[in-house]
Amino acid sequence: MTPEPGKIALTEMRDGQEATVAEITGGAGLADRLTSMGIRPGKRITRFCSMYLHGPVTVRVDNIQMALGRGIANKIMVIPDGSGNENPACR
Amino acid sequence: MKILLAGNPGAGKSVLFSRLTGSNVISSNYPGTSVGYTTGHMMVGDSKADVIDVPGIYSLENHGKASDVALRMLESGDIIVNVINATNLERDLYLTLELLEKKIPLLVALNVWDDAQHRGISIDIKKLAEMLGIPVFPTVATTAEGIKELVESIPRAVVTGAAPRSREERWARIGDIISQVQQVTHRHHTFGETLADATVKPIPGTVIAVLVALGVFLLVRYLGDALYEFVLDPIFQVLWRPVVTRISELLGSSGLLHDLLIGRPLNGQIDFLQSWGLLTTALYVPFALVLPYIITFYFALGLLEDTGYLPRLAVMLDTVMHRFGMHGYAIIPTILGFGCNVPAVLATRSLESRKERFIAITLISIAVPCASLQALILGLVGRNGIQYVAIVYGTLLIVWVVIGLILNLSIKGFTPELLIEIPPYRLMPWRLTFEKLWLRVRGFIIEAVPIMIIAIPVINILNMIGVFEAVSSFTAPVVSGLLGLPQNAIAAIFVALFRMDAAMALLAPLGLTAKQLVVSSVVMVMFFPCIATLTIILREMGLRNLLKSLGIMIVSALIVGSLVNLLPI
Repeated sequence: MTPEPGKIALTEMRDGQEATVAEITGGAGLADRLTSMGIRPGKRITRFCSMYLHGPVTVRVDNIQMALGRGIANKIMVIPDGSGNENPACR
Repeated sequence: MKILLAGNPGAGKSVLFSRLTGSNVISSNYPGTSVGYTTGHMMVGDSKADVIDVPGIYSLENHGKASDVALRMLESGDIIVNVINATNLERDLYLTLELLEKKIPLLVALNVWDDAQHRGISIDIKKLAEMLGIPVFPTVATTAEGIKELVESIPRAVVTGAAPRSREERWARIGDIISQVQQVTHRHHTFGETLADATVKPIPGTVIAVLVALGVFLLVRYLGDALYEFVLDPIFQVLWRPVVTRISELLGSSGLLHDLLIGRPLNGQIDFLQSWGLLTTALYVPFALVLPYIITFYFALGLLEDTGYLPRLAVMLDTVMHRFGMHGYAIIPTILGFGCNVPAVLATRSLESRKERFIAITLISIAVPCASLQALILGLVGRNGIQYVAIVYGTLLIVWVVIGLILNLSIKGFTPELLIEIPPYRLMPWRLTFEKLWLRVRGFIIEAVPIMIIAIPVINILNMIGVFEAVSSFTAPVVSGLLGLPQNAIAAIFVALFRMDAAMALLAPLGLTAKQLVVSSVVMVMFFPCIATLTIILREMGLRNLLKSLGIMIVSALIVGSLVNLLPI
């Protein structure tokens, strides 16, 4: 699966892929919380891994590792770098 | 003077607090350890100051319970020590800029300084202090590095009089600061980090979680058994027995005072478990039977907390926990419940929705046996073989799952999604791990011993005047009919209300069969929680919810107790 250029949701990224946060959709409340925890437009984000059965997605921003529920991850739109699969082994 | 410690969750405020005040607070390597707040004292120059550990917040604007509390506390402070995690400087500076706009003297403790250096992050402290306009001190709270300088400089905290900024202006300013003071050298993944990453990957993570759970159980059981067998029981048998025997002789081996202090001998010998005296059973049960498992459980829990494994477990279990109407973070209060249900109920404050809290609290008090009860299960039930212990825990697990599923479907409300920070793994200095262990063990001793000393004579007197007999004939249809227990087992179930461990001493002399012990253990875990837990649930959830929760406990205890009684074991 090659990612299309342009915005995709964090849940659509591959494990190990890097991207730049473009936008946080959904309410201002969520955007505020994510911003204060370190995820905001313009930040570099790496999708690290995701848990089976639609479990949380783990990401890394700077030195911060965070776990986000699927619904939240779906609201984070990113522009992926394209290739670059540093960490394909998420099993 | 009031000094406030404020900072992001996980910046190390609690460890810094105990460094500053010398008083111990429970700190852990996961966000939100300090759900309430803690006060202590320290000397600044020649005057005594109050130090307050404010709950961790990311920003002053988020409207949540924690930030409301924090905001109100901040208004009342005279000096704020802003604790920043040096490895997350950019994010943590947001709160710093907000604090600068408050007209309260401020200084910065740039904590976790050692880790930042290991990670190849270099920060120009002088430049940072200059740009912020306030003093900045690098500290490593875990090893006390830099603490002395910080303390000496507290009076030099500054009000900068910064004009209020908009959100965008703050981030722009932070970008500016970061570009001038911080340099990050790229570094490759170390072996340790690869291993750390494995714990949140589906398959290796599951294997590791199972191994950790098994390891904890084995550690608690066998180290606990060894402490009992080779240390604490011998102390009573070899050192204490001659003393109480002598006292018994001095008291003339009979009489009211003798029976209260020493109890009734069994086959001419003092029996520490069954004699029921203040100097025998009231001391032996908490110190010899329960204490070993308290020590080993809290030792294991301390390791899990300090290393930072627990939030990873929360991520692993999130999907499963959602089936029960909670998110993964609810596993942390649940695990605390295996030590004592009281702090476990308090820890559910970190769960956001009412539904989630109700389910978590009800499940903890129904299906999670505290360390005292586990000592009973391991000690009494375990004598008949490990398979019976497995039946007790297996039953409780099934109860937890079934009631969780039912509650999730029947309670209105929502379960928020998981959104947590996963702290890096960390090795705490052993001294801090043991200090925390001692704090908890001391808490057990301070709490358990006085109650035992009151409970034992009261039970003794109730027994003498025949109260239990009267009650037991009344409850016989349930106790004997449904649960298959001897009538007088009701006394133990009743006493469990006050102290789970005192109940153990009442069950021991009844000569129960293995199956009866299994049934009574399961019923005691599921039935009423102890008074202390009851009080906390009332305070945290209100009377209505407490009654609801109690109804669920009583009904399910009777149903499950009867079902286990029907098992062919």
